[in-house]
Amino acid sequence: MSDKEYYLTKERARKLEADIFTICDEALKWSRADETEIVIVAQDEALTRFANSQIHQNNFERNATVTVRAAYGKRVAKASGNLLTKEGVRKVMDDACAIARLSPADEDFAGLPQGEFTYPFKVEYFEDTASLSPISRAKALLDVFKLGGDSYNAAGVLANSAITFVVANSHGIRVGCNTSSTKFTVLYTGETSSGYAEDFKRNFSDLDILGSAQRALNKAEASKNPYKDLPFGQYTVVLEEECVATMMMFLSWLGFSAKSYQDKESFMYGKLGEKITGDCITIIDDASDERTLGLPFDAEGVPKKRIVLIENGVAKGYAHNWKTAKKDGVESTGHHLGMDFPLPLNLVLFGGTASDGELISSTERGILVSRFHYTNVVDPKETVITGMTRDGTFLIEDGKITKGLTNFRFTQNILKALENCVGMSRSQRLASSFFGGGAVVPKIKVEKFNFSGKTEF
Amino acid sequence: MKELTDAFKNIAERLKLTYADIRITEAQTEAITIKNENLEELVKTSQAGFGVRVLHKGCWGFASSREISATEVERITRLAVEISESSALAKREDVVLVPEPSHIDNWKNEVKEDPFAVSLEEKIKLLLEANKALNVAGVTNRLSFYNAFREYQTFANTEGSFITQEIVECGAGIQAVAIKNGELQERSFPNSFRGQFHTAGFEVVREFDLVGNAPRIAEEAVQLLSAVECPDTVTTLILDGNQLGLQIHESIGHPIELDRVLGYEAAYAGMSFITLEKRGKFRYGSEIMHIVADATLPRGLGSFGYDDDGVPAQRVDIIKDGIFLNYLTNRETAHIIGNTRSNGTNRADGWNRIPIIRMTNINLEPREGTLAELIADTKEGVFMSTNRSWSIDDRRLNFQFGCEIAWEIKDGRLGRMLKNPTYTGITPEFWGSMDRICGAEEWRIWGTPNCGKGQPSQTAHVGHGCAPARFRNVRVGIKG
Repeated sequence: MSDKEYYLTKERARKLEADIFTICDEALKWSRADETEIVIVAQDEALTRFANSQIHQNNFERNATVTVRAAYGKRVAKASGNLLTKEGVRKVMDDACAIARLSPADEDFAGLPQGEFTYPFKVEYFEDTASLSPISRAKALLDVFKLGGDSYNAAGVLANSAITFVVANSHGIRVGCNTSSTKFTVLYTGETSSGYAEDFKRNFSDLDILGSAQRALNKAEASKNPYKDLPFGQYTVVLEEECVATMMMFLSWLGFSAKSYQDKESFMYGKLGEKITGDCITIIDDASDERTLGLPFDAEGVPKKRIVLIENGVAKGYAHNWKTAKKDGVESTGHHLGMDFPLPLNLVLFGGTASDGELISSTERGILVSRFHYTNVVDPKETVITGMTRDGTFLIEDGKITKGLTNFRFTQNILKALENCVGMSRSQRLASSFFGGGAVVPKIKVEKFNFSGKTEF
Repeated sequence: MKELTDAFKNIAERLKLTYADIRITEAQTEAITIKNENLEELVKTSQAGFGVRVLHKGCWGFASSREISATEVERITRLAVEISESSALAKREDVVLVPEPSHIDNWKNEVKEDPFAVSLEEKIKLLLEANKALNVAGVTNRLSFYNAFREYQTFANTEGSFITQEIVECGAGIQAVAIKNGELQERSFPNSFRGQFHTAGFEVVREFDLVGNAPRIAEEAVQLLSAVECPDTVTTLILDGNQLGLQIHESIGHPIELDRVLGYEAAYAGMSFITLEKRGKFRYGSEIMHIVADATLPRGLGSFGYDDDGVPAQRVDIIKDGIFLNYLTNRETAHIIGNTRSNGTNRADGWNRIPIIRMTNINLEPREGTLAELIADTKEGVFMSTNRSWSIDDRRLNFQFGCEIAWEIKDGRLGRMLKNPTYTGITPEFWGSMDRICGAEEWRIWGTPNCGKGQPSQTAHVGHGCAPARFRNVRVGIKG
């Protein structure tokens, strides 16, 4: 932008954070509630969206969310707004106090967090990423469009953002951070096939835009003229990272929250310490693993702890916020998201020993799945999900990828799939899940994976 | 607001833009959740800001800000222009808008009882009573939900339109969860996923009779634990309205969005099987199928006065006698299919999002008869109610849905309760198998407040009017 004063340089981001702390300090003095918490997220986000190998939606947004939680004894309410001024924060605080006074008690409310916290890691802020111009994004995409030539249309996004996140409460918690993020996704679509790739980083210069684009194009080219006559049924599959990340996020929603455990709705309820899936499966949540792009504290200002969720197939633990932790008589793990449902969102599935190639070469007959689409829950307690394959489904014969396939519907119990896991790649990467979130995961090889239907494309 | 829109017009004129518009919105929401007679969530939110969209050098640029001032309007408009110029670096074709007369108007939906004026105590009392009424032996968790939305919007464009709108929406629901021996069953009323929603005031919540329906819902949740599994078979399927609404949403509403057909959503939500050459001749379903897109329907969650192109709400035939006739369009895409005017479906999720084609109220028109008569007319089959799960492929052909509850039908009567009912199909085959639709007395408009699309993500509120209908030769009971 020609108006260079507008973007959040590192210095301006620091000043914004300091100003927000000052606003919070003053606002907390005004509060009439017994306990008060202010959470502020200020964000600039620019997103260049492209389809048919041209930019069709090109956006910039400057927004903020100011959320105040006010408590009178156990009577608790929240209000939020987006006016990032003293007056704006005060208005939100007045709203929260007013409705909290009218509300009945939340008997599970355990007060707001208090204590001396140490935050185990810091996150970086990349000024060049925060202030990336629309022209820079457009220029980076020109080669992506060119790569597809006349045969493959490119669609996807190139985005960058700057985030300032501050938590302050009436018990003295004051914590904040500035960070940046960037993402690139691309789908090449040809006459009979498509291929997808994605990359997420904090620093724009770490994105491998052309490398990702080439991987997506290779998929699209390799899967063209797909074979249509392979019947659905049970197959050995090699699932790539986007599929595995989707399975991890569904496990998180269905069972890794203390709230779902306490309400007896978690698939892990009553099974802690028991074997619930395959020996090779260890899932942790670790925001300090830089690959997860995690933040050092949650929306209550509590440090994020590393938690072991499943270890060698055994159910081990789940994520807490302050309220669920007090109910269980333990410490919060720092997984409050602002709603009454703590959730681990920095998941890591441990990798195995195989190279990517060995997962294929060790498969006599199977199917390689690149990506799931529109996955949803069929049975929450049994962890059964259904969804479609898309953007590159391939037949494996005698240890080699022999042809592209039309897409399948799967209906599959996640824990059973992980129980039937017979191989995992050494390599891991952060991959996204269709309904949001993501996880750092390897590719995995699963036997008896259930395809329940198919399409003609 | 006039000061802001004047500042916008001044800068837009000076920059000699092909087209530009500004939307200034202020939105409020209220949400209450009660679980097991304990208040779990009481939240009020407010959001204000503006977004400027410019068409310059044949390309769009969009920028938005929460800082509402004339200075910021000028700065954001200049940024939108810079963004449009960057888009032009890789332009293949110019964006062309179909003509639209300018409109100066003020629109608001009918609200008999302002939900934000009803006291919190009264709302909480109603939800608590419903929660208590769910307290049947065997129920593990009881939930009551309430949500209200209000948006004030000012729209102005460089063609002379100046439109203000106030839209109020409201909804509520209850849910009973029964868990035993590692099995979870749930029942919801009037609909799942926080209930039923309308573009209307609190009067609709009073009409739901949450308290009166709670014991039945709770008992059904418990009964499901000991019900037999829905068999894996091919049979006749009758869908209740609250499930049929989502079936329409996923297998008709999304595929007829013209931006999807043109590939604009390819990388995320996908494309559509209903490609351009099919218009006017493709048999989408059986001859009794009549689908309309109706943004003018009172109480419909997809109703409004004007879309975010400044085009008035319309009622359009989409499928008639089973033949596909029309897409949902905006001013940018209408000319591509030879239309001279947009049918008014371009909507944004707030001031900070660019408008894109969204469903309005996509309705299956009623035929005749009651649900009881439809069941009596069915020798053998399954009746399913209330959505639990949904999934469809990226061209909207292969779908699979799960419902909360089902009953077998034998010789024209409802028989045993069936648990974990699912069904699957291919869109045109499924709609082609529809042989009977209930009448106006069974027709309801179902609100879907969580329709996701776009990047950055946008959530739309849309509606689906329908009456229960019957489908032949459907595969049910898919197991994982």
